[in-house]
Amino acid sequence: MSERTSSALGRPAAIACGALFLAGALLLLWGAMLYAPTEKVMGDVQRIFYFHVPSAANAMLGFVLAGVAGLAYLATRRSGWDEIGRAAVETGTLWATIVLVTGPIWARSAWGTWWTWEPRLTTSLITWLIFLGAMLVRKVSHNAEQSARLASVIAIVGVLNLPVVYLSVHWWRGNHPMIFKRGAEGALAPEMWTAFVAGMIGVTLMHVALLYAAWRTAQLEDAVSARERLAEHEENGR
Amino acid sequence: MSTTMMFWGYAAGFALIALFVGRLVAKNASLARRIDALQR
Repeated sequence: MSERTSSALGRPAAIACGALFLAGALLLLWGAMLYAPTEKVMGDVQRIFYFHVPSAANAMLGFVLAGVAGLAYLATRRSGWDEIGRAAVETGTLWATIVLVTGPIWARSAWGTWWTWEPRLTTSLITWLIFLGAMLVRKVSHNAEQSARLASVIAIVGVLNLPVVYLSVHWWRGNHPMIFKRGAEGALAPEMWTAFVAGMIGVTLMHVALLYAAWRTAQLEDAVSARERLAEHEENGR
Repeated sequence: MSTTMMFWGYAAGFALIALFVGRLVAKNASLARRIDALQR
């Protein structure tokens, strides 16, 4: 087994990933728990916002990367693009799951209900299901190339759905807050903006660390599978 | 109520991240076993 394939994450890279993740987590928690003031109406539950929105942004980042990698894979059929796509779908789905879990916890306190079929929530759930499908298709298919093609197509369809998620609050009026609309009610105070930016940077740092680890694991997975196929071929040839 | 919900929001988020990392670690351990089997 070559140096590249002997471990997914060498010791220095594992330490760097851990440090990056820890720095990101501390930055998020510092901004949300220590720096941001308590919101007058909602109280402490509003602090979920500093985790929820950066998670949504990073879910989109992961999904866009998965879509671009999927498109590149379909065009070139190079496994390197599929490895990037696989890792990005996994991390994107992780952040989207966090969005779908933290959102209802906030909503229970702010709206008095865990879930409502309003446009932003419904389109977010549909996107999550699409990318979950892109992950699951690899589990059910025994043909790696076929499942990579199918997962790429699903990821591209998922990316096409992202503008609908983003614009859903503008197209159809729902309950979901619009913090970033100019002059919107409930616009953020300067300290809250700082905490929000800290959350964005923090979650992105955590995402980079997880994405790198997932990507290296996907590379190792492909290398091991290739070696196993070769060994099986040699065995059958004897 | 508000503080408790905030706690559960962050706890659930970090628990999901921990599950993701655990899954990656398990996958790497399984790949290491497959490498060992190939080298034998």
